[in-house]
This record gives sequence, C-alpha cells and structure tokens, in this order.
Amino acid sequence: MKRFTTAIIIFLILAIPSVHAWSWDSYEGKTTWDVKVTVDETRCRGNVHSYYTPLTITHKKSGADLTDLGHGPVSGTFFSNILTIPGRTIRDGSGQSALGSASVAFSPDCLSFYTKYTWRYHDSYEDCSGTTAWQGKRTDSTTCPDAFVVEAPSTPKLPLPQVMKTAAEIKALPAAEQKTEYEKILDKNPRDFQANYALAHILKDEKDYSGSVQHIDKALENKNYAETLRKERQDEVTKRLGLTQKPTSDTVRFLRSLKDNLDSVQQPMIYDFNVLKTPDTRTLYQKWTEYLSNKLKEPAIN
Amino acid sequence: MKTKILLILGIMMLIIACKGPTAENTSCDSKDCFITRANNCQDANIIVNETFGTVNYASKDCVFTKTLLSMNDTEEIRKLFEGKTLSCKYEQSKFDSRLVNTLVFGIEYCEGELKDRIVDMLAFL
Repeated sequence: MKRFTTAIIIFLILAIPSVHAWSWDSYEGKTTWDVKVTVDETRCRGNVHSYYTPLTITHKKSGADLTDLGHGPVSGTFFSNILTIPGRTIRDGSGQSALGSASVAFSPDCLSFYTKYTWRYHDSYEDCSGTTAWQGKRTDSTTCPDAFVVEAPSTPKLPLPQVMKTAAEIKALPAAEQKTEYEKILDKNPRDFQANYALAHILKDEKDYSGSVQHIDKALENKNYAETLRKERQDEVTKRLGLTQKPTSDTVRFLRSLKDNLDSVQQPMIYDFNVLKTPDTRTLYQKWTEYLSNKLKEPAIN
Repeated sequence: MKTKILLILGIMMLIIACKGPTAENTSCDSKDCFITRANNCQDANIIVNETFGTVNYASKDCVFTKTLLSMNDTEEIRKLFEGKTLSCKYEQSKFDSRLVNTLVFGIEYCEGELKDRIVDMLAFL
C-alpha cells in the first residue's frame, strides 16, 4: 500500500508539470505592462485621480528595473512573486515627497500585479500625506515567460493594445490630425502630460483660450514633468539670452516686480478667462509662463 | 518795415496753425489721464518711473505701446530690456488699464520683444 501511494505521488508530480510553481525571481528579460495609477490626494486638498501609463520591467532574476510610473524610474528586488521597492524621497514641485516602500504582488498567472503605497508631501505651505496604487496588466504576452506553464491551445489570444503613434509621428501630422491623436491619448489617460501640453498650444492657435488654459493646468498637475519643463525652459532661456547665470528675484529687481504682480492679483484673468489662483505659488508662476508662451517648448520627456 | 514784421508774424502763426496739436496736447501727467485718453482712442503719452525702471506708455489710433526706457538693474538685464517695446491693438472703450498698472496682466493680446522678455523672465520665478 505504501509503495502504491508513493507511485501515485511520483506520477502526479511528473504528469502535471503546469502546477510547478513559477516565480518572477527566476526570470531574465523584459515584460511590458499597462498600469492604472490611482493617486489619492484628498488629504492634500486634492482628489482621487487615475491615469494609465505604459511600463517596461527589465527582469534580472531577483533584481528588476521599472520605467517611470510618475516619480521616475525605480529598481526593486523580487522574492518569488513579490517585488519590493524601497522607500525614497524625491523632489516634487516646490517641495518633496517621501515615498513609502512598496510590495508589488504579481499574480501566479503572470498577467497582473497590484500594490498600494503611502507618501508624505512637504513644502513651505503644506505637509500632508496620501496613497498611490498601481494596478498592472501584462501587454506583451498572455502567459508566464517560461515553458513550465503550457498555454491551453484553445485559449483565445487577448486583443493587442491599440498602438499609439509616437510623439514624432504625431508632430509630423497636420494640426487638425494632431489634435485628434492627442485627444485619443487623453481618452486613455486624461493626465498625460505631453498630450495635454501639446493640445493646449494647438487650442491656443485656434483661439480656444479657455480650452488651452484648462489643458495647461491639467499638464502641470504632473509635478515631476512640470518641474522638468521648468528647468528645461530656464536652461533654454539662459542660453538663448546669453545670461551668465540664472536670474533670481533676489538679484534682479525686474523679477521681484513680476513676482509682486503675480502674488498680488486677486482675480487672475487671462484671455478674459478667470484662472483660479493656486496655493502652490511655483505652479502659479509656471502657469503664467506657459499661458503667455507663444511657442510649444517641447520637454525632453520619455 | 512794419509790413515785413506783420508778414513774418503772419507766416509764423500759419506754421503753428498747420502743425496741429503739439506734443504737449497728447502728454499726460497721470496714469488716469493716460487711461482715459487711451480708452477714447485719443493719442496719449506718459513717462512713468516704476519700481523697476522708467517706462513710456503711448497710445495712438487705438494701438497701445509700452517702451522700457531705462532700468534700475544689472547691466546684463538692462541690455535685455532697455529700448524694448510691446504693442497691442484694442477697441475703443475697451482699453485694458492693467497694461499700465501691471507688468504681466493684459499682455496676452500684445506682441513685441518686451513681451517675449517678460515671458522669458517668468520662467525664473
């Protein structure tokens, strides 16, 4: 009887290879994902908002590098199907955010992951906390990247995600078609920085000023991208005007006057459109730069 | 001799009459005066010492022009701004007084190097 039981166990192990546990910490290669990022800023005078963004993970067995999901690229460590990303502090607009560590749980079928981590934002005006959740769906395959799990032949392939045009391809199109392409991107991800920013300038050319202002505001909600844009614009202006150093309101009286102007206004109007004052003064200044800018300053993002 | 003097006086009066309103007729001694005249699309001109420098505000035929004459700033900044102008066309009775009371507000409908420099400087705030 004992021999019979042992034989049954051995048979089961050999006959059912698909139940062999597969884990991401044994894999080397790249996978791609579509990630829904949900940010809860309700305790920071904000709201709960979500956006979709593509993600590529470079797997190095227990190590993994993730492309930018909103706070810059990160690296983590896999143990089985759990990816641990250590906490870190980043510059965020005019302040900084302390991001808590994240434990990303990957599903056994290799097709999804989920995590939620906390963060604390601090600047000279506020100190508040919130959460960010990632909900990822695999886009490069419908199976685990290993031969142990055999896909059933009858399993239908999932439709491939709609291929979006690249930024360069869109910019080569006539303005009307560019507008359509950017609107398509925003249907998928209403917070997409580049689509909002580019659309804002197209609408400004069409004299749809309120639409333009709203898309600029939306673009600048992405604090990391906004900060990148600000620095790039400063570098570009410094170089173009041949300035020996970046002017500041402490050293240049004219800048102080500009600052006083923007700080003192109670009803900020542009193009006869009332622009609500933002509590974050740096964002307020940046908004005015972008509202008044004639040219689309293309940020070197992505 | 008397006839000659009368003739010279007559010619001088004719010249003055043909010259039309003098520069003094368009100049204002307050921003309120300037805004009122500009709003009526009457020619107007005023030089004002602002905190950052001296500015010439002018309006002619419903076109407003702001010229930064001199600045109390570093040499580098003065070179960028002094002599630069911005201009904006407006409709009668719709002159935007913010154009003479502020640096930023109202300039979205204007064009000129002064506007470009102001937008450049905003990036450093």
